[in-house]
Amino acid sequence: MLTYTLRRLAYLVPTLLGITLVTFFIISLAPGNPVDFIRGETMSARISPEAYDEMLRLYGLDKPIPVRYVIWLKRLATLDFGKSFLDHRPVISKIKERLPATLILNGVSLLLTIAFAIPFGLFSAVRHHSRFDKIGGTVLYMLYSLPEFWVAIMLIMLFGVKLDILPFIGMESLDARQLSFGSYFLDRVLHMVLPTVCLTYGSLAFLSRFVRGSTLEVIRQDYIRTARAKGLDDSSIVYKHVFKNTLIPVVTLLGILLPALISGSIILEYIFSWPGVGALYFDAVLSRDYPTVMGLSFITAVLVLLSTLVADLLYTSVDPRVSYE
Amino acid sequence: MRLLRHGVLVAILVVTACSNDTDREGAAKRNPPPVEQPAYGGTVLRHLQSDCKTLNWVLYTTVYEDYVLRYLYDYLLDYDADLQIVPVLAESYDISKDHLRITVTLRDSVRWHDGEFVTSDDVKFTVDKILDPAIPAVNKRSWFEKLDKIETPDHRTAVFVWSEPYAPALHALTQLAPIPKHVYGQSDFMEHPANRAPVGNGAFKFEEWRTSQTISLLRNDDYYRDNAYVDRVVFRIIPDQAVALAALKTGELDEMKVRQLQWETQTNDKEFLKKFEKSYYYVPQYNYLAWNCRSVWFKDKRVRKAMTLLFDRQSLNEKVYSGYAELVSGPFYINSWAYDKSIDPLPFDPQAAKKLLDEAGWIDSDNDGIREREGVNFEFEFSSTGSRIALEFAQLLQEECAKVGIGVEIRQLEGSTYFDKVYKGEYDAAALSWRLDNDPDIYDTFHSSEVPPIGLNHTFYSNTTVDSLLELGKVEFDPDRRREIYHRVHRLIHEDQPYTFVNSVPEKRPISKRIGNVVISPDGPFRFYPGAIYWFIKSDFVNAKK
Repeated sequence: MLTYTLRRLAYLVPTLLGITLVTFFIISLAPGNPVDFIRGETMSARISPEAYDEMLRLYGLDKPIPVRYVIWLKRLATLDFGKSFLDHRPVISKIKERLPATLILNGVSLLLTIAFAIPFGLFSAVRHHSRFDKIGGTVLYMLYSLPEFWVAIMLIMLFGVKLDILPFIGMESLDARQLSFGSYFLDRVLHMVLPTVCLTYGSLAFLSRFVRGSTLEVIRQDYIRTARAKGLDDSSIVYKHVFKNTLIPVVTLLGILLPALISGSIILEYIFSWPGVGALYFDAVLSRDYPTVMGLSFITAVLVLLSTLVADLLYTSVDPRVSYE
Repeated sequence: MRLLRHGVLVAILVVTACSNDTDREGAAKRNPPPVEQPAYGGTVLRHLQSDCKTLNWVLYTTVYEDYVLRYLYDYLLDYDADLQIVPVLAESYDISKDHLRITVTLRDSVRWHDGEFVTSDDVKFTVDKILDPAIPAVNKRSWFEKLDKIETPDHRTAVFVWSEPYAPALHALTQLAPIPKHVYGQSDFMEHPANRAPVGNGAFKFEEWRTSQTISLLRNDDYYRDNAYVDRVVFRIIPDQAVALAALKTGELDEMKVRQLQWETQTNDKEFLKKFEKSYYYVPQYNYLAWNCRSVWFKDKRVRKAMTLLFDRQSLNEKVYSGYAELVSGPFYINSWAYDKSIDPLPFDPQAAKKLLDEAGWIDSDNDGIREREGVNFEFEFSSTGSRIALEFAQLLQEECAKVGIGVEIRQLEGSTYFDKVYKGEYDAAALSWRLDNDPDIYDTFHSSEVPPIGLNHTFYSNTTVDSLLELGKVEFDPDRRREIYHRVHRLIHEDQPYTFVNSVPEKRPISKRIGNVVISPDGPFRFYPGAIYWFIKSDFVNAKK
């Protein structure tokens, strides 16, 4: 197990190198550069060739792309992501500043998804073809196919404007910090309701159908029939024999869902004015803010690789057939 | 449509001088003078669609930053609501006979928000920073390129010495807000902590900046003029326009710039009109189609004129802007003295266009439905950004062109890529727009020496008469003669049609009726002195919710 983990960790390095290399070249080769963006934005495009070159030099863009990549790698070795082209602040502090907002929103949403999807999926499978399964399934399919930006706007119009009972801008009210701790906490919770709902319903639908599917497969296995035959009652069959086995594919999915925790949801953050990482990523790509794009890509890549590793390791605990010894 | 706005001083300037007080019909409606005695207290809630990148005045580039900085910093000179240049931070100014020296006397005892005095050293420091090649202040630099030096004989006097006569020199001083030398001092300018916690000298001082959430400002009780009324101005960053409108309706915002569709369909109910004053005003801006004069098709001005005749701008105004747009015929702000109102926009006339195309030798001789000349088909690429309105432009043109045997291929590009192509002149035709300056000098955009990749004359337009007039306009100080020069420029460019001048579209901005002292200049409620500084919350609202 330990050797396996170490070997996997060692593989991370070349994989990451590959990912960053490809990302770096793709964004550097995309047409336009930060200087052009600033020209476009400020409209002060009248700029002498010398001044243009000077600006490129200022951003370190006068060197060929491979050289820039090596410089970026060298910096990375000391965990320095460089400075943003947009506001000249260290990329790491820009990310840090936004990470909590994204983490809390996505964390709560992920927990809710798991907390609801697994029991719901299990129950639908155990009672499949029941009314609960059919109606629940239809509703979930409908939810899954509703675009989240549309749902978000509709919810804002209903709960934010018409009924005026839920806030829909940012993480807290303007006067939040003058409130007592209790009301402050409540204010924060209320601000989370709408974004969390929008972020959760889609993955909830997806995951619960997924759990249902894999449960149905397990239920049809011979060993379940055996368990029934030897007279076990339904609940212990479900909890002891079915549940554990349905977790195997769920673990795989979690490996995919975890990185989403930090990458954030661009659309929902935009709609709810949520000061998270998704918006930062989006702006950085549009304005060709290479250091920020690279910093975020790197962190996301690390998380993806780590969570796949964690998922693989978790297999050993949910599936005794899997062993890395 | 997001296009180019005009060179030099970007998104910012105040109003262009207006030839007389009659605004264009339907334009800038001015609010009646306040009847109510201003009340103190309360918070004005303003909208930012996008967060600021910096609050360093020298480094700022966007209109959002301008919104915030105008509360924090006063300019040496500025335009007032009637578009006249007035001293603000300056007490007076004096222009030498040869126009080469402008002596500015600063007001006595103006203090920075940290208590230090504002001195001529600060003025010099700011201009030095603007001109420093290692600092990306390109949007402000062009005003001071003809500046030889600044002399500071004493702490209240700054003498701007120009290396040659420069007609926009006084205007340049309306583009200068000093920043405090003692704060920025020697340390790294680009990464200075004050870039996110600025020390200003204006009617409001910086309180807090919460990234992507809010920027709040507090009233400066030691302002060197009358103090402002409201305690606070809070900018809320709400990127989505639909959400911002919802926020406006629930009282979470006091004002916002709305889209055409919102203006027409979502802000006309009784309740909304009871709570909000809907203002619209023509900012110095126009949309146009650029014809690359180096391309095989558009080097002939008859063809360019034909393209304009084919482009039904009136129906575009109705269809896309519901009439909230003015047709334009030339490259100046419609409310400016430089704009010659006697020149009418070309009409929509496909028959005349066909005749011009025939004359220019573009004839469909092989009957394939496409005109050609010397073996070249009249088929070109029309570039635009991905915006819906830009697409409407493109499709309208495509449709009319198809009827007369011209093939148009629409090419929508992502922003950075698009600007890159336009700046390099690598396109056939494109939909664009300029944001103009108060000064009508358009040397940078129409002089034949200003072609890509350096200059902004991205159609490669060249007319020797226009060239010499533009050179004259830069050094002519007599207002009447300068107006005459630009009127001639307007007429010549109209004849040559390097652009199809399309229209000028007003900004539309509902402002809450709980706000008093709202003054709408022809360029809107903010970009002049004192702008929104003296807004107040009407007394019956001060203690109300939000």
